[in-house]
Amino acid sequence: MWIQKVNPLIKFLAAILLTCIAVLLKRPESLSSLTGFLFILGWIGGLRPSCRVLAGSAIMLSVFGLINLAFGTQPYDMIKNLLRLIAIFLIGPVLTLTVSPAELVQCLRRCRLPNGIALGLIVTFRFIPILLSEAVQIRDAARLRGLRWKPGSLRLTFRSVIMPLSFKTVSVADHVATALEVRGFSLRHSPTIMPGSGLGWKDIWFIMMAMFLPLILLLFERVLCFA
Amino acid sequence: MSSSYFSVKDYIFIALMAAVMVIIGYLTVPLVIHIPIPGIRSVISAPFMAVFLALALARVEKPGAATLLSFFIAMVYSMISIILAIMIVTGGITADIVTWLVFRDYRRPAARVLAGCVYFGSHVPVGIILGALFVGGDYSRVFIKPWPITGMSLVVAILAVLGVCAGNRLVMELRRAGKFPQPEHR
Repeated sequence: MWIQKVNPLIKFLAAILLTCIAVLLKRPESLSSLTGFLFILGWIGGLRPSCRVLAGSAIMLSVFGLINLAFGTQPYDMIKNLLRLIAIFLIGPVLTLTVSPAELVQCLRRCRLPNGIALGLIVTFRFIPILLSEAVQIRDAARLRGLRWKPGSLRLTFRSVIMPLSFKTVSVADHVATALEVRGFSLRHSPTIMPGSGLGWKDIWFIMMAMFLPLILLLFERVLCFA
Repeated sequence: MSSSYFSVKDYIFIALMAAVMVIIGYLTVPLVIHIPIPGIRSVISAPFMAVFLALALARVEKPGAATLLSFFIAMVYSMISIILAIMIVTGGITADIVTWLVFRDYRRPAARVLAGCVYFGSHVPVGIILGALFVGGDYSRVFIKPWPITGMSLVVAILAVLGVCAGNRLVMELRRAGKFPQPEHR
């Protein structure tokens, strides 16, 4: 996917700017244009949401719309609120979910990020799938022994899931830290001589393309307001 | 001896606790994701996440640990929404500042309780204010009132305190098991 080759920091910058523009836009026409633009950007970027994700989002938006109406919001304003919500929640998957953690850490390192923080980020991203599989195994084992999720089972959940997970995590942390220290890892020196990825023409083209229509919409709305 | 404020062990421990907190969010938040009541996600995840917050703070004990933990979590959540990342980092910074002003560090269990209370309690008002700012409308006018914000924040803070207390008990267990350094050896 071409969108994955864009510098992650540029994508984060575009996400922040687009979120600000989504907040500033007030008319449903502009907001629907922005939402449509984000859908197209995601589609040509290769983003294909599953039926489950679409159904979940539809339920959430319906409930949100009904609550808006229950609080006395006019249908026109409700549509506006829904469109803004969709735009804000589309920005994340379209721009930042296409960032690979390794590229993000490389880019942050290029911005003179302290070695410790870069290390921490790598460890966080690297160990999420490992610890997730551990957590799921622990939860399944607890379920086999009769644990059911209900409000009154907080203490039981703590004993059968949280306690084993915490012991496992502490043990993993000790192993990783010891392994790094044994290998002579130091926070003073950069652990790699490889340069991080810098800015290129494709990044400049991307930010120009991503910001062109939203800025035009914002400008158009402001001009209409003053007219 | 390292000249860095945090050691390699501290960074690794905080990063792994951040990873577990993200996983807990991943496992618990889908249970209530379709209920659009502000703060409901914090209500369900705070008691479990607070256990790991307590562990991270008890191990590192230095001011700034909550901010670092929240930064790692925020970098993961920023891939879903920038608003979530802002909310989490704000909570971490607030918890660090308040605890530093009252206790100076996280050596005492009460300091960790206060940090947990502020960290998770601040998520609700910040989340509601950011949500209202971003979504607007009558929906936000209903929730931007002192009583729903205070009520929900209090519920989350109480649940977080329960989680931190459980975490403090776990710290004692881990010290007895030799997995955590003894307080006098630090």
